[in-house]
Amino acid sequence: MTGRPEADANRVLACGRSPVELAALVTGGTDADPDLAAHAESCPYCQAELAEQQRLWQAVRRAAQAPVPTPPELVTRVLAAVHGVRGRSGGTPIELDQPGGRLLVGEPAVVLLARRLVTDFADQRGDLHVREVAMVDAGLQVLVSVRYRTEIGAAMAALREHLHAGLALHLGDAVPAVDLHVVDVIPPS
Amino acid sequence: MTAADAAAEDQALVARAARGDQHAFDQLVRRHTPRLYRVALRIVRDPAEAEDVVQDAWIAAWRALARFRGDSAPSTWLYRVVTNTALAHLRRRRQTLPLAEDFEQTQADPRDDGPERSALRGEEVALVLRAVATLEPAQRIPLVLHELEGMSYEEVAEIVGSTVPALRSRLHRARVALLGKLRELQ
Repeated sequence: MTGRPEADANRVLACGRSPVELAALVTGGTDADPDLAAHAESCPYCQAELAEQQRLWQAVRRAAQAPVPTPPELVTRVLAAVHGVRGRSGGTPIELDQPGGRLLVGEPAVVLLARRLVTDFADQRGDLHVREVAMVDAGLQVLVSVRYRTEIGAAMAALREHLHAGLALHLGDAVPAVDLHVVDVIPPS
Repeated sequence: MTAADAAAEDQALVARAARGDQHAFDQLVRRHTPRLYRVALRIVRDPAEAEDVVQDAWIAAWRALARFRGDSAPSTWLYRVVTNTALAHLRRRRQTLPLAEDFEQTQADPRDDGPERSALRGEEVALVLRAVATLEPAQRIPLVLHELEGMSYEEVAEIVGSTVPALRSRLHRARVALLGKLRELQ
């Protein structure tokens, strides 16, 4: 291995074998070629390459074993997010007047629409993360976390504008009031 | 609880949730969120983004519940939902911020190895995950599922919508690329 994957793909050892072929012996990913295994056993070039690959692959094995702690309260936040889009029992739909009658838009549809708009905005910026969108009383409540150094006031004003414009496109004059809450600041690395 | 018991319990919870039992769906969230978060984190590498992925995945799962026909185990279905969500997230997110190092901190092995050894192991894990993050998503996702999550070829093929022979080939290329990247980063 030379350190450049594309270079490794073309590299050939002095014995004519390639590191790519040998990788299958180390990672166990494909059925080992018995001819290659027999050759590698007595080939000093292959032995050196195999030793290096084994050293690197051991690190992958150890990484697989390393525990990944679940952030505190993650499950609670996920449940809140799910409950938000599920809508409240007995929630009141938004009413839109249309020629010929009324159009009712249910709470889950409004929340999903708002969540999509906030997520798009957050993806575009890269420094906001949606934590919950739900109907509370007669309005939408949007909880977000922000990265450290984000100008919170400006970011929230832009989010509010984006959200209102997006909702108005679908709901016209019936856009609900929106409460924005910054609930967390993600610390710098 | 054996794996078979857990799978049967998952099936029962999914069936109840599909009939509108919200508590059953909440129970699925409690049971599977830690694992889905681990997968999401290993794919997107940033803890805040991994949480975004997990939330979006559960909302997608809730919306798709009525269409889940039980052809695969619920855990396999949830893995598919979270990997698809992570993939969509990788495609659309704006890469203007440096990847957080928090993840590397969370990956440090907290077992009683002594602080020095633990720190070294944490650095090694961080290096591996940094290398994994450089792989194309088409290689990264199956590699995470098979090499880091320990899933079988058959399970991974089902999740990524591939055949086992095609998956083996893709994984081989992913392993070669990962070895090369690890060497480069050391």
